[in-house]
Amino acid sequence: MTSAPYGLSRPDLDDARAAVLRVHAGDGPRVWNDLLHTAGLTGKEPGGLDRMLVVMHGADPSTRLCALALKIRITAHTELTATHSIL
Amino acid sequence: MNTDLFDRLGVPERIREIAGYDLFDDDLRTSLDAIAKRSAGLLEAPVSMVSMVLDTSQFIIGSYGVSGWVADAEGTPAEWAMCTHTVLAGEPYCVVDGTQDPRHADNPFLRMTGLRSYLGVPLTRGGHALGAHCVIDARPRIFTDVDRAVLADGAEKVMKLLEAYRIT
Repeated sequence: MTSAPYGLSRPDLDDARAAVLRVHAGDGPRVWNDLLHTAGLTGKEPGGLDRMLVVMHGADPSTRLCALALKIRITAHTELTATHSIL
Repeated sequence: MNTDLFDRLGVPERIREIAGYDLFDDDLRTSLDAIAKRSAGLLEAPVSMVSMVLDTSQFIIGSYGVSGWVADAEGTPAEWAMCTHTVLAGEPYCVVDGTQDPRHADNPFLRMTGLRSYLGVPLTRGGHALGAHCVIDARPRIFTDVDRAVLADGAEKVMKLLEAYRIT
């Protein structure tokens, strides 16, 4: 993750993985691997989150909520970073 | 990020309960906005929200008086959301003055918005607190039992409404 105002960091692919493992518990690794396969990612890509969020949005309902939660954090990070750059 | 907090919020059964609603329906959102507006009016508060607390963020599904980046994002990071405390407590949660409360004095959300007091009641289903209905005020405020009853009534209306949008 990258640093940001108010200690809020922009989520990355590792955060998406943590969210999927969290809400799917024992089934998490399989779900994550399926998402990686669909997205065409290995899980190591530094900038892979945007592509992963698209795939997560089209996945099962719990995964979709994880994507939504991460998007909220991204928007907050983007807007607060812009505000700080102006100030 | 706050792994411990996110693990507490991201309980699979609780997230599945939230995922069982069509939270993106326009008519639902309009009705929830109306409930938030009603609660804000009755409690003379500048801000009222109906939200689901997801694993890493608060997702606002109905609101009155919300603006700026919070409105654009339709939520806040979970660690900044006052409603996170309501959900974790599973019962009404009150903050008289966040600037003087050691639990909230360092909360960037309060510092950025200038909001100070909070009253929230949980939205509960299946034994899980899924989210909260709340009012937030810019002045220190001691909320009364009547205030809690008004907000609880709003929360009951929210849950009755949500049942019509159950998809699983």
